[in-house]
Amino acid sequence: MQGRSPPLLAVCWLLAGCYTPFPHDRHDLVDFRIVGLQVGDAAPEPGSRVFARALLYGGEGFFHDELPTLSWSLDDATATGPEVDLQVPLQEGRWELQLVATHADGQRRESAVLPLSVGGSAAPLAPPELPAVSRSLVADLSADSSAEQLTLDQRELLESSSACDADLGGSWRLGLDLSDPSERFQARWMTSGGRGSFFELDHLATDWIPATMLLDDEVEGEGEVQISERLDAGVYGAVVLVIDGQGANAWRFFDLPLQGAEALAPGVDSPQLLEHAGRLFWLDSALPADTTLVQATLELADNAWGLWLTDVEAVQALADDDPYGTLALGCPGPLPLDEPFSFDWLAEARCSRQQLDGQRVVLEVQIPDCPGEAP
Amino acid sequence: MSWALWLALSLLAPTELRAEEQARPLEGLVTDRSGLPLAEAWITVAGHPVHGRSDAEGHFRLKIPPTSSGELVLHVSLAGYAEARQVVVLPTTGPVRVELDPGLAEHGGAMGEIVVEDSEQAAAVVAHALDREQVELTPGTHSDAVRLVQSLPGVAVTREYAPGAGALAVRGSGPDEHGFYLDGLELPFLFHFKEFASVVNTGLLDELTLYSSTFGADFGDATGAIVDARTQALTPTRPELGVDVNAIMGGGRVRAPLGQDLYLSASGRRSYMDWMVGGGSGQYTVWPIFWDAFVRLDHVPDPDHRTALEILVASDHWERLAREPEELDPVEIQDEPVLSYRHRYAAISLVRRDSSEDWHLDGTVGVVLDDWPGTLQDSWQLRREGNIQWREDGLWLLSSDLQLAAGLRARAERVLRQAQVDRSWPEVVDEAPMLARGLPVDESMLRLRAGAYTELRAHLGSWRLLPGLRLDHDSLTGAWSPDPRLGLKWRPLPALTLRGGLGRYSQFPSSDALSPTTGDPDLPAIRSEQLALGADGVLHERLVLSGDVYAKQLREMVLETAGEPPRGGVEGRAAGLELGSRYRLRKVFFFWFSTSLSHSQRLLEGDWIRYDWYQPLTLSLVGSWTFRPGWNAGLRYRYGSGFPYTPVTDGVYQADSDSYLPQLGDRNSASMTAYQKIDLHLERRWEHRHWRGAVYAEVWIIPAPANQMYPVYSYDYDQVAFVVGPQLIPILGLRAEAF
Repeated sequence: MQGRSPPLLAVCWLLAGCYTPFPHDRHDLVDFRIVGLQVGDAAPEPGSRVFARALLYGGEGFFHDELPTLSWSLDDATATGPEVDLQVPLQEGRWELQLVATHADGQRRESAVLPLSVGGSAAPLAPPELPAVSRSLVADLSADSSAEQLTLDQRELLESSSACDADLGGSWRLGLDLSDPSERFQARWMTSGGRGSFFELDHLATDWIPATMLLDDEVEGEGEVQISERLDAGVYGAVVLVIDGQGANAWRFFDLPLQGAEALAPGVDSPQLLEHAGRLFWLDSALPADTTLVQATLELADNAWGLWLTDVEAVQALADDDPYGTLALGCPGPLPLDEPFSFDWLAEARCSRQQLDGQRVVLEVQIPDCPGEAP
Repeated sequence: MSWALWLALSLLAPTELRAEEQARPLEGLVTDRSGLPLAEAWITVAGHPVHGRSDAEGHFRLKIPPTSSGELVLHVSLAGYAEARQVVVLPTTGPVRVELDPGLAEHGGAMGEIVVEDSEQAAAVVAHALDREQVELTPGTHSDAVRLVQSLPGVAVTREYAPGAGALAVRGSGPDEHGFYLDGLELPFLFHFKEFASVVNTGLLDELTLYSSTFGADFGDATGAIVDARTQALTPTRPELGVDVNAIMGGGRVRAPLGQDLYLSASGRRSYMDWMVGGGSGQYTVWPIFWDAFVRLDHVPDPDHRTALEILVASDHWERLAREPEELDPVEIQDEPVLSYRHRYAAISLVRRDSSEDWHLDGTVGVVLDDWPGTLQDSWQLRREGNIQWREDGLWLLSSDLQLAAGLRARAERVLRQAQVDRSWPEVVDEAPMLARGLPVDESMLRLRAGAYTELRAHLGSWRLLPGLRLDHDSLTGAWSPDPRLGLKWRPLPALTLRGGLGRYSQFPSSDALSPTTGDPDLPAIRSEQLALGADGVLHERLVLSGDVYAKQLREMVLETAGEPPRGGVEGRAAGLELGSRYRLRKVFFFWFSTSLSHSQRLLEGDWIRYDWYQPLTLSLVGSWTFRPGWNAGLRYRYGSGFPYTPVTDGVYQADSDSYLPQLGDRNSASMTAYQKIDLHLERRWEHRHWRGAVYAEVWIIPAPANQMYPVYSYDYDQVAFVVGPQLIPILGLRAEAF
């Protein structure tokens, strides 16, 4: 009984079937969800071991107050945890790496599958190295744009310019400058809470308009634009997932600032920007421009990342034993001891937000001139 | 060949017929409107092999079996006049007078019976029919006779414009379990795109009979119902033109004498929304286009012999994005593969009828060429079938109360199935099932199906017995199907008829289901045992009340699921109750009401589940009233319980493609809301000496909770919504005929 109906008929607009649009599409991260799976090699050799990890959205942001349970399986091999390595079957062919992620509430459960081509490729099928997401301002694109102005053809004609922030109503053009610019890789853009609207530009670029918009006609360029929400000034957390269709996946987080940094840091005379793995923070005291490593205290925050940085200071020297203080965090991990703290660990369910609250961590940072320019 | 058959069957018949004096005479007079007698008019009796011709004074005399009582339906035809249909109540008090109108038939005239109202005369235990007046005046059908069948008892009420809106689900059996015949020929598909309009122009139909279940031995290779359509065999004296335009298509038809006892009937129709819409919609890059054409060339040297060459061509085409645009971002839409769907066929047949006073033979020899290609990106499928069908049906009057029906049927087919595909495309399962399956296919199948039957039709006092036996064979499955059947009718009172039928029915799986590549070549024949009991009562001579109960058991059924191999060996069961009433004053008023309670299930992995068209309660009400000359108003109301569907319970994330794979729940474990639809019709007609025309307006009302068409799911299958159809549909239509 399920099937497809031609939209048609007689007096077409009268007779076309329709349905109330779903409140969220795949760009919107609003509930516990597996956002992506990554393996070290999607075409592993028979009998080798494959490393796997997952990107999970916690429901309120890229963090988990209590860690979900991640159960992996590949043929007969099983493992539990945020990052595992599993025995690859000896037999060549197509095998499925499976993940079942169970939310800490025990109710929500998500399943994911990543096909592996065992022995199917002479060269490893490794995840691509992703650069930082580039942001530029598209002045002529806004929530007030018409359906025709939102068409791909029209948007391709629009110029974008570098900017530190977008004014209210302004739009960002986002892109990834991959070393392999072919259409082998496709970018999937998502925001925490489903904030704003994405209108893709090509396989690795998109426009983001700070409003929840809906086109009421499936014919491109026709119909009216329905706006259900315009975003307020703020910083909106997002992630881009890059896939190649064969299992070589990678992701990168970034922030979308809306309105001037000053407006976002009220009472602060000259807030300074700090960027950590695509995420933006405002400091009330200046750091040297060449700062790359800081120590900061993590504090619970109502943002996409779940935490904020306080008491930020540049790191002058690292201790010999547990140089980044990773062991002291008490996360179930596994965590790399030779790397500084990363907010990615929250999204990958290596550390819960509650475990990190109040912890002093060392992070790699950059001091950009403004968020619109890649440091 | 028909003579050989006739000879063979004649040898089987008793050599001594009963004395003719046992038959009762029925005398009558055929005249034109002015009362002038008409000679050479051809008179037949529905359900009887009794016929005759009027003499030079217009008189005719028929021999009616002594057991006949109640009503007889006479059909009277003569070249240049509209065929008349006249109901005669027995015993008659004097000669029957029949007036013929010149030119085209009026409603209920030239078209004769299109589908039945229950007929006591019919050989089958359960048969339903409607006529042209009912088809044209009943709202909500696009003047489509087959569509109106969906208002008959036991037929599922489908949703307008939803997938499968044109499907016939009858007495717990789905569309794949039925047989559909046009002048004896099986057609590849009955409805354009399975939902819009039937491929047969109603303006050319003569009879359309629905046998709901427990049909006689003359039909085989079906475990559901039989729809038997017959086109008109007219003998016009001058060219006649007709035009029909409705909400979805327009077309015309022509009839003309060609001389040398040759007569031509032709029609052509085409959908026109693609012209209005232009290049398509967001999803449909080529808007749905369908058309059909029909040509019938009759050779009628005399009333006893008629031969017709028929050609029917039907075509469906559209092109669309594989996925819904709502699922795609602007860049993906540009790269989304487009499915090109075509399905077209041509059926060419030679239909013959030979008759004498004591027998008649109907024969059909035809060729059907069915072409079903589809392309999607680099993948493509091709299903091409050519078949030759032959059918002979004979009826012999052995005595005044004993008839013998017998016949043969054969179908030889070659099916070519090819697909080049490297992944499954479940999005296109309806239009390209081989691409949906995702397996490369390259195979050719030869198949021969043949069958023979015989049936006695005996009157024993107030009883009528119809014992029959049918034997079918299929070369692909190697199965033989001996199917005994029995029909009974008993008329204890003049106004009461009791009916009963039981028998075994067989159907061979489709060639696709038997495919060595995508199907299961070991599937056996599907079997069904069926029982039906019914009663008809007549009150005040015009109000007919009827009631039926039925039960059927099905074994070795084949259950098809998109993208999976067919599952054989499935059991099924169905039972139901049907109640109906009807009242009619021809050309003034007709009304009918029917309601059905039914229950139909299939046994799947130890659990009885609802079948795909499960609809426990249906209700139909149709009324039409010509309230003043030239003006008619009509009403139709339909109600049907919500069809079941298989819900999607979850989606599994496919990390390589960033998509979700639906996880299906128990088959048919969820239901849509109940459906109801109200159709109103207002028509104005004009009639002049050489033309007649009508314009009509209809309003279709589908209250909001009832207009669900099918479920759709969010990108991750976490949310479900229902595509809903419009609640109010205004329609204007036009019919015109010139003669």
